[in-house]
Amino acid sequence: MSNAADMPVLRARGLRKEYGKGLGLVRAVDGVDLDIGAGETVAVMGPSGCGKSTMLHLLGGLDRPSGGEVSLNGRRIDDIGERALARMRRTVVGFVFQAFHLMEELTAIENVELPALLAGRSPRAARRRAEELLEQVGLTDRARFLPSALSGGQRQRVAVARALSNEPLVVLADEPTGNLDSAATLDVLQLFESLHGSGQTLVIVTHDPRIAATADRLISMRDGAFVDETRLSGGTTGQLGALVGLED
Amino acid sequence: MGRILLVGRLAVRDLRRRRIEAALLLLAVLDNRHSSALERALGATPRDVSAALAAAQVLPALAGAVLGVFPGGFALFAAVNAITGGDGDRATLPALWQLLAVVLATVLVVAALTALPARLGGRRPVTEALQAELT
Repeated sequence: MSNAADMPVLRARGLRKEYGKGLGLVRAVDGVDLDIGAGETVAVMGPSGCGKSTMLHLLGGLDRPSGGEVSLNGRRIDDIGERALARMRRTVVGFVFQAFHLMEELTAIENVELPALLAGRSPRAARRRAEELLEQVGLTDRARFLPSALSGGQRQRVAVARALSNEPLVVLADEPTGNLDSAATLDVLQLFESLHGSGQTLVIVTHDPRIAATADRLISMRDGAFVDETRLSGGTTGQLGALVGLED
Repeated sequence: MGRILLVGRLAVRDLRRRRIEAALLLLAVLDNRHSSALERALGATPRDVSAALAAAQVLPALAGAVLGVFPGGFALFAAVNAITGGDGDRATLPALWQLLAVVLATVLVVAALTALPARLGGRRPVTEALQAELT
């Protein structure tokens, strides 16, 4: 996972995503340039419909751009085939979604081991890794529970554990606290804080300034383009809950 | 005459069952769109998804076809013979190769019915497939 210091893990140039044609043309992402270094946490904020989720999907190869370039770890992903793109998603990127997107038929631990199994790890190695990750997110005692038996915060922690299954270069999180109450938000915040502390590269799209406060860099987006970029000091404080008003 | 009616009714029922099976297969594939999109988001290739869906449908279909022909078909044949008085000259069992062909054809049709829509769905962007299930 070592990268040359000057090579960004994630790089976009002139990234565009358009829907429709003629008068109905919508530019969801309009000429975005972005460099994200190894170990960096970047928060992207903006009003609903400004294109931030679409941009995240383009960065992770979940969607195809209409124009521009995206490179992950120095390798272009905007022009590769579906199969190569799937393999890249498998090993290089971890996704966390607002709606969790867990497999409802699988238990927590089975959800977490799924990416490792898809990547060709042995069932035993995948299970061991999943156990470690569930321990890391504090859900060892919920490993055999179905998602329907977990709270929203627990589901999102399972989703974060799943995103880490194949030790991705970058974790892309799309509104990870959007469906959570304050207590669960704090849990997930602390989890992201510990990931940040461990050197995990993170891109977090969020409406929530409390999440944004954990980042090294805050990007504001409007109408598909970046309108402001702020480097935050320190990112984390160790007393994040108090900082963002979730604790006394 | 009675036997012809019986065979005709069985054939119609079988045809209807096949149509229902085909519809159910399509529903199964549609029902799996969210899981499939999620698997793709996690790194499964379109081919992985098609193969998994086809296997999930083909294995029970194979078991059904085999059991339907060998104990099932033979039992039905014996029952029809017993009910109608056993006219062995007019009602004969198909040759073994024909029975095997029925099993093979069932498996191939089920595999194609499953894999084709899964393959077509595999070309949709993952985001689109994931979001479609949320609305």
